[in-house]
Amino acid sequence: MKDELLKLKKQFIEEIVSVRNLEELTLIKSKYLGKKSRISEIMSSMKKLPIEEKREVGALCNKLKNEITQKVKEKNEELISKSTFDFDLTMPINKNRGSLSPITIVGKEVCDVLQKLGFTIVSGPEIEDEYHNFDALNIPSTHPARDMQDTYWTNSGKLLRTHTSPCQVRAMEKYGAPLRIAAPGRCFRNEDIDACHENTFFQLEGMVIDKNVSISNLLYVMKGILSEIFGKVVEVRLRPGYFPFVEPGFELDVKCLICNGKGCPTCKDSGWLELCPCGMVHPKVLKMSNIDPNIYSGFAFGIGLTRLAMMKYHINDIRILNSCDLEELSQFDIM
Amino acid sequence: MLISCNLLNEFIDSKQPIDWLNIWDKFTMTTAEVENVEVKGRDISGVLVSKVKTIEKHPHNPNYTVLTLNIGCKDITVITSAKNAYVGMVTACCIAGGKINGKNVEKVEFLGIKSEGVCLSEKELDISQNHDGIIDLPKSYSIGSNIKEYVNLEDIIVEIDNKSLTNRPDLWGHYGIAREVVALIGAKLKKIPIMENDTHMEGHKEKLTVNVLTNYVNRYTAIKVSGINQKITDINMKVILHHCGYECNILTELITNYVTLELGLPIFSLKGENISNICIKMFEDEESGDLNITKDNIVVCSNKKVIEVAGVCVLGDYVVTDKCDCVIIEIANYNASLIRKSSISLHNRNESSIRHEKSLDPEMTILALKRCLYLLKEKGVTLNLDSYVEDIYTKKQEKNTVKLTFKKLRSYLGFEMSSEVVTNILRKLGMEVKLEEDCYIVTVPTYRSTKDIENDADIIEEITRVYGYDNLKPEPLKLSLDIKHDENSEYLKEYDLKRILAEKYNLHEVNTYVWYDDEFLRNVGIDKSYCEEIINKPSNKYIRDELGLSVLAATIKNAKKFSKYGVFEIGTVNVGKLVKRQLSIILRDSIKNAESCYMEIKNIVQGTIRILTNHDIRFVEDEPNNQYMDSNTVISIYVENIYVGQIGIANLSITKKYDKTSMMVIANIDFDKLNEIEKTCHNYCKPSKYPSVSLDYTISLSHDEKYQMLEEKLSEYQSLLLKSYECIDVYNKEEERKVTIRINISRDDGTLKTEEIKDFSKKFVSYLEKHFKVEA
Repeated sequence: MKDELLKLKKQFIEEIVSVRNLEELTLIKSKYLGKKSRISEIMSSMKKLPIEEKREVGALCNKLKNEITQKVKEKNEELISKSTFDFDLTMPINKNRGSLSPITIVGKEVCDVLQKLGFTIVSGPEIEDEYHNFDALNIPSTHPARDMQDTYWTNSGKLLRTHTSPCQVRAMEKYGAPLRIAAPGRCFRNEDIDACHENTFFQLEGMVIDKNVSISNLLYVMKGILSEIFGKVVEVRLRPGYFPFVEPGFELDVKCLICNGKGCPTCKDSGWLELCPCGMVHPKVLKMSNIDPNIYSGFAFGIGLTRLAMMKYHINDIRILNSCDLEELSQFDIM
Repeated sequence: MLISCNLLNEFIDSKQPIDWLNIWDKFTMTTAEVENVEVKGRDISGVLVSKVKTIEKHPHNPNYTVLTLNIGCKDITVITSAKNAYVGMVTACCIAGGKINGKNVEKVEFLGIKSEGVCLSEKELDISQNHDGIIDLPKSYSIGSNIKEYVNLEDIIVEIDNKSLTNRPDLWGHYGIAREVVALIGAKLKKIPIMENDTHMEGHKEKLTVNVLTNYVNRYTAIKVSGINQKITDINMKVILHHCGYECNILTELITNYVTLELGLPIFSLKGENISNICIKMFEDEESGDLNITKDNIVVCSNKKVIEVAGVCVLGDYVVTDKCDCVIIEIANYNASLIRKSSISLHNRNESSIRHEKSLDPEMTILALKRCLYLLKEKGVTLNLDSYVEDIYTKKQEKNTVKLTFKKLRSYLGFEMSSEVVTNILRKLGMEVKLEEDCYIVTVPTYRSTKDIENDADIIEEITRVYGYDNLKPEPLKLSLDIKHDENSEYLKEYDLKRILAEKYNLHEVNTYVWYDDEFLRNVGIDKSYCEEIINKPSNKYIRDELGLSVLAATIKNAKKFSKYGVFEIGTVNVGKLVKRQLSIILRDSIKNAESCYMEIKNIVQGTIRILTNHDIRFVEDEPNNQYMDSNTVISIYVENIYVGQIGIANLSITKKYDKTSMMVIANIDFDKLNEIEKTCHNYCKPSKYPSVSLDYTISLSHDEKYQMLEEKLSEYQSLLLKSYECIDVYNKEEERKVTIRINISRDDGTLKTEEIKDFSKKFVSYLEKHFKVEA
């Protein structure tokens, strides 16, 4: 009997663990504590046992009943405190999710940085007039950029803007000086498309105009902006560059982010990456937009958002960006 | 542009040898971008001047010859396949143990005969592209000496990015680069030797008449010479020209190209026989061969025949050949942009026209001509000067004078730079500087006055670049507090909307082109030829006047890869003369899910417009305003009674061409109009503290009756108790639909009484029954 009682105890413990609801618990309770339970049967049959054994088995039976009663009580409390919801919590959820263009993501990141520095984000039309795209930017009528080879011209004499710089002019006309603006947007050049060239690409133009704005200020601001964009302090340097709307004009390089200036294939072993053209706003450009170059000076810069997106996501074919191919583009999530 | 450091050395007088390998980093940082530095000739060694003593056919292979060469100290045997060897020829042989292009030369046995070296062609020695035979060296070279004693095979060739020289006409020649290097390292620039007005210049026989009949010629300098057909060459000039990308086979070419390399000016030579007069004019009706010359081209004519398209090319009959003895050497300076247009129109942009486009200094033409004559004389050519130097200088290039105030310089630099430093830098660059009380007066040399240095900012650039941009310390920008602008940028609004569409509605952003795709238009049978046209785009030239069609094409493109998806774009369109921004959203699903898909896009449109404007929107059944929506499926979208766009299903006749089982529902929204709608702010309305009562009514609508009609009637119903209503259920049954409406009524001043509820219900049902079949 003693062995059977031990066996019953073991069996009860196994069963109570797998009980998931109150109905099952009631069944277990009745099975082990009910009048027709085996324990009750054993207790009834004890009369026939010798006194010593009766005492011993009786004590065992009572102990087991108490234990079972206690366990049932605990299980009951556990089940009551638990909700009755019963479903597979690990089932997959809907994996559908939308995506933004990498250009949109990168553009917003840059704009966020510039807004923190007090820049206002402005826009301008993609189909521009000659004045805003060229004349007002000191690009003379004889400049090669105006050729059919470089610019898309429309039959009404307008053009698809070749850069975001016309937004500078529109902002100067609208607000005058002082000024601190950034203009992201789409630009167009008459180019054959291949893995490295697109006729439709995205730029961001930045401009600061105030009294006594210097080249040293330009260096400071550009270093700050690029450090924020790349999430670490970057080293920058200026080289001469020629753009008709700035004078002096610079090419701004950052110390290669891959090799940290040691030289690698990305930076063609130079240790530097050419990143953005910039310069002091040309006095003629200020004058054209009715800002007195004898009072105000300023700087402007252009950041290639397409290039930045390609760098960020390691995209090696520019055509992907305008492909409308969701297999490619849906990877970019929402940042 | 390729630059030879050997040639630069000719112009620089430096006490210390110049470290040509390392100077170019500084040049990049101060002047123009150096793209590549290549060391030439150091991989060639053991090449001796040798004399051919005997020539025999190879006994086992007649394509080869066995040469006995004297290399000074001894004779060696060399096998060659070259056919031009002759006894007595002086040539170059790389003997065993030497190197050619980095490869070791060893003794090898070829069909039983040992070859102890390799005879070399000009190409193998990197002297020219000529690989027709072994090099024929001058007989004056000492046999057995290293070829490098005579020929400057070693050089450093530098490639400078042409784009970074666009604004520096003075740097298109080696002399200009040398002038810049001299300023950077503090050396002296040598004077370039030219033929002075000596007896040679006066030995003319006839007059060359030159007439300039157009304002587009700044200067035209020419001379007629004869005696040019002489077998004279200069191997070192040839090497430099080859390293810099020029191949020259005749003497005139060698000299004129060399001077072009030196001074940057393009120089033409023309057959001189039969030419005694030259006229430079805009083309009219002169004989011009097969060239499509127009009235916009400047031409050089003689006897009513075009002999040259100015600055672009010499016509075939007048091209100098090795048989010419009499040539006209011509150096001109034309209007830069006209030459560019001319070369583009003739599809002939070449070295000459590209140089002419840079607005070179006209002061240089006479110098270049005299340099050509000097070199011809120096190389031993016995020249006859058949004419005077004709020099028509119509637009004298003046030196620019620029005033730079101390204040302006300080403002640009952010610190005070001493006048000593400033003047020192400017003078090193060849400028004259005069200090006045508050400014510098700078006189700019002509070679930098054509289009380069015109104002004070240009002078500041010169000072800062030579001072070194690396020496400028970053300085924080003092933020002006009186910035007036605080534009609520469309760009940021667009971003917010894009994010909602992607994040909340799982849509994918696409970027389509601003022009229509011709093939797609053709396939779907839509004509857009009335749209604004890009005149210099051969295909896909119509600028879109609506975004939806472009996004539809993008959606179709993905149809084979995905079954259910949605895309969107905010993009530019050109409507009439207005440039506008539109938003297009397209959902694609199977035809059987058309209704749910349609409702989904309505939900998206409503959700996004509410977020942007905080206004409710109204949908009204309408006719499509485009050619690709199914007219039975179109609703117009109104916000505050302003039309902002349409929703509709794309015609199945279009989409089925690409995708038979699915449909695409499109929402086109005028983003500019949406932007004009001011975002509303609803006033707080205290909820009634008394309980409201909900009453449900089921209305039967026939097939022809639309929910829109029911909604109109509900919105017209007047009752102070009616607080809101909503459609809670729709049951479709063959010819009839049952729509259940939940009406919420309450009073602001007390609990509704049963009688009031009954009374409302009675009146409301009675009102509805006038229009519809109602079940309370």
